[in-house]
Amino acid sequence: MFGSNNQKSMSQDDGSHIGEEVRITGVISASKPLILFGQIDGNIDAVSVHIKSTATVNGDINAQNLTVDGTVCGIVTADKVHLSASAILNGEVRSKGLEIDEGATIEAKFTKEQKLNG
Amino acid sequence: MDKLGNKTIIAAGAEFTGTITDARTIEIHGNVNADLTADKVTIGEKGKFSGAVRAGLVVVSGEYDGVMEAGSIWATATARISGKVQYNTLQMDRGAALNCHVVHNWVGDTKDLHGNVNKEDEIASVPDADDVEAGDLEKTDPVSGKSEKKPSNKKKGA
Repeated sequence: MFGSNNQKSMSQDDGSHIGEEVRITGVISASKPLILFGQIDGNIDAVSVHIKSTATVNGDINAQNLTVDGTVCGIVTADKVHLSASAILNGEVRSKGLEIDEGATIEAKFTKEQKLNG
Repeated sequence: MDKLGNKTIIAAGAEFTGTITDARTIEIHGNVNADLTADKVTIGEKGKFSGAVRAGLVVVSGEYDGVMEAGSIWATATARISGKVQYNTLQMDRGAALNCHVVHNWVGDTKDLHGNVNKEDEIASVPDADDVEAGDLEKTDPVSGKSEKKPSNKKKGA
């Protein structure tokens, strides 16, 4: 669901990609899908965000589609949120649609929002 | 998957502001304003980068502004570089635009990418980036003997 398991090979046009050993501090915004394997301290603003199991995000995420396999600390705002079994989430989730797999570790406040990022 | 996980790509349309460290291979096709440490950096034709770069190899096809310290720099035909570059080896394709302070870094150890460069050696031979403040831009450059022409829009490392 929500395009998780999307493992097809990626070229530069398919979106941004943050590698596994990479540490990033700052703000990132992307108009194309963003896939994270590394660590980000800062806010993310993108259409589609996939936080892989090796990734850690400390900061707020703003997206239309969000898939979390890794760790997130912060406020998550997205139309569709998918927290997979390996997800660890601390903070707050504001979403229209939410899916949580069995096994996800979550300590968060959930809010259903009717109107989000358009 | 592994291959994918080791590579960092900032795609076209993406914007990033901040610092990036420990990136092995990074490709920039978007708009990045950052301090970057990496093994290999590629700035794509449509990529724009401003900020400091320390890397083993930098391939520039897009726009760069800032202080670059690299073992090897390859400026392709579409490259536009401003700011300051320090390098051991430099390759320029026909058409590449280099509007910057260029220093052949004879003694600087650019192989050590993780901040342990012997600064003493570098300072002995070239003015450090910190000396080229906005106010000092008219100052004659002891290496090239030319005045700095670059306007002071250079970003200092955050």
